[in-house]
Amino acid sequence: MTDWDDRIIDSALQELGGQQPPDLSARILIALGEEAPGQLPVLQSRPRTRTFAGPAMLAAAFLCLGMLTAYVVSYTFDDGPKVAVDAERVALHVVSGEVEFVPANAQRPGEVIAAGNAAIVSAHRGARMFVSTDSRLRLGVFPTLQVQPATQLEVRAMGFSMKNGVVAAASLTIGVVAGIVTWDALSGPEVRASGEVVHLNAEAHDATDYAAENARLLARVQSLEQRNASLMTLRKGVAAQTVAEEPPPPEMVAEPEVATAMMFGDPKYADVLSQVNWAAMGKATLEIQPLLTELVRILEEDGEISTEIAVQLEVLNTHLVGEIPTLMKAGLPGTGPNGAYTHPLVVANTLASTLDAAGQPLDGAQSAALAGLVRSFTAELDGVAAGQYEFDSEVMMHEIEAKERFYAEMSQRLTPEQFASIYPEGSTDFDGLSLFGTGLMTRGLLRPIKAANAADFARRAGNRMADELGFNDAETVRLRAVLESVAGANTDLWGKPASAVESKLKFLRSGRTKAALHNQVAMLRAVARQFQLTPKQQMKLFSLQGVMVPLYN
Amino acid sequence: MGAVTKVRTIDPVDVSQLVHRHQAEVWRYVRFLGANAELADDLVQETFLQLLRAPYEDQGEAARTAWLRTVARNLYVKSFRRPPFAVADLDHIEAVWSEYAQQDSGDESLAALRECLEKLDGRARQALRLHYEDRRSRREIGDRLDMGEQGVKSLLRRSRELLRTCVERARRGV
Repeated sequence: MTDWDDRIIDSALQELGGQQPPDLSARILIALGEEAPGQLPVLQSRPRTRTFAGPAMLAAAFLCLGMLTAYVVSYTFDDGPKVAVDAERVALHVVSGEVEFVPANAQRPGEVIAAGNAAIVSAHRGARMFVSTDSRLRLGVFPTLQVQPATQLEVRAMGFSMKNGVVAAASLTIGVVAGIVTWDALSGPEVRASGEVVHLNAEAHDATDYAAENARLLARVQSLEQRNASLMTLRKGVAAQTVAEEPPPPEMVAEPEVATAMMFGDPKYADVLSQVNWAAMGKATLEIQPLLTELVRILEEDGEISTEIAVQLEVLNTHLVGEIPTLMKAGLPGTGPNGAYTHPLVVANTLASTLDAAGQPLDGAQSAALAGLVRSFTAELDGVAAGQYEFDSEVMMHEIEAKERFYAEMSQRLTPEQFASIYPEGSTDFDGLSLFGTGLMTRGLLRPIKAANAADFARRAGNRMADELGFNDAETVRLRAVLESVAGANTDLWGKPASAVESKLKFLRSGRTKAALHNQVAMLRAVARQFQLTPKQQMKLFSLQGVMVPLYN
Repeated sequence: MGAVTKVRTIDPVDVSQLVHRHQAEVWRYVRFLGANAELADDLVQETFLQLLRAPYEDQGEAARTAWLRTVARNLYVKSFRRPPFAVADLDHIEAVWSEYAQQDSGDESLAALRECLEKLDGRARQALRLHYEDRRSRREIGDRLDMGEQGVKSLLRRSRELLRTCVERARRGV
């Protein structure tokens, strides 16, 4: 093999490893347009929009469901442990000064964001920011930039590196077209001038924390803007009437920002959970649910993801995300962040507020029955959390089973009309599609593996597990045989090829997740019994949480 | 009088489609030559700008692809003070690339490579994963696999050789 033969495979492997050809059309068109004003052709839809932005925005709509993983995530058959994904929608905060943001496919003037404000912007490659005065700005989770007057910046690349369903790192590359930018890096102050490039990175915990904090602050900004608008209207009304004594019309009075009282409480968590704005949660949930089922219906019928619906979901989701930090503070037991979101206390309060928003409130008998269920299942889940289990996956399995019984019991207390509001037709066909189901919890932990049969699955899952456990070749071969034997015996795993909804959106057909979880526990148990593991290997095996799910087309 | 070639000029409204059609191949090509991802972005942009600025007469897809590759390669070479490869290597470079990209910008080869990668086992697979997915250095990979840096280098090269053979067989349908 010559050096060039080697290089071709090397570059292709790098591409498979995440360094993929970008869509440079917007950038080229902009450059062309700037060189020859008036000659800019009509920008056409980017080819990646359907295959990338659709599921991406859907995933964004599921920030709380996927636990603030990233704004934009492209799910396909992801059987790798680490995935590089691009990001497009991000919060632009202007700390001081003023920034004009121009999306990649638009011309000036763009959106002007003043000091103290923030906006969700599309940070496509080619998006530009114009700064005419000394300004400080922050894009998403990245460090704050100090920008000098007459500076023009252009987004070159932005992406999140995902590992096990959560953000492992985030990176942003900005070209300085004109002017000067400075920022504080770990190694000290950094400066970039015209023609240079700014590379910024953010670590995982920062990314998730900031995403939640950004969402919370944005919700706060929106709330204050609404209040301000109400007060301005009120002021105009008063001035026009010039009657100081007359009280303002009730509809013009800004609503106080008081969280709606929760209906179901527990002394251990009451302090924190009472701060959640359940009304906002209910209203958003009521609107999101039918959109989700419609999105899936369109995908099943047309094979395409509706960008329009995905955008609506994204907007609605900001209301849910805004409550996530408070929910997290409560410290409810459960596997992963959505363990809290699917806890009976949260579910029951969300259910009550959703039904309120639908104009179908729970009556006294229903409330009493639900309160009893919440108490009972909260105690059961406390028991699960405190129990002794061999594997972490086993804890999750018991937790899911308890929560599924809770959802079943809960739904039996609803009237047919209420049931239709909470579970629109089609919402229970796929795990994670209903906001009242355990699929929310498991979706972020799924590790789909493209495999047509047990042998195929055992080979790929075995490679992965062998990597984790540091097995040698002989052990890996034995491991595959063990996994094949277990997976082959689990008939629930096989026989149904993956639909587009499963492969593109990672909403698995109802029941598939549970079958995979049972299979996972059985596989882990077999490995623990049949291999002489070192203490370190045992620890790794016991703490494996990702659920490997075989999928095939 | 020479033969008249039927030509057409590129309509500006086709620019977007044209870029979409060829950008992946040009980008992959300059990456193959050795450009890092950022340089590749810049080179692709400049290549297309040259195509769009010039009074270019389009003689069909094959000619256009070759033209874009040539311009991209020249731009890449110009980005160095000294040529990054010998002119004598050009024929071989083009042959390697043509075999890989064929008529599909390399999409089929990439798909075949993905399949071949799945078939790879043991340390070879581990080393490739650590190197290309986790972006670990040879030293880190060596620590993980209990090998020296040189050993890791050899292992990676041998693995790539296996993959290349596998891709060739897949593309030939063997």
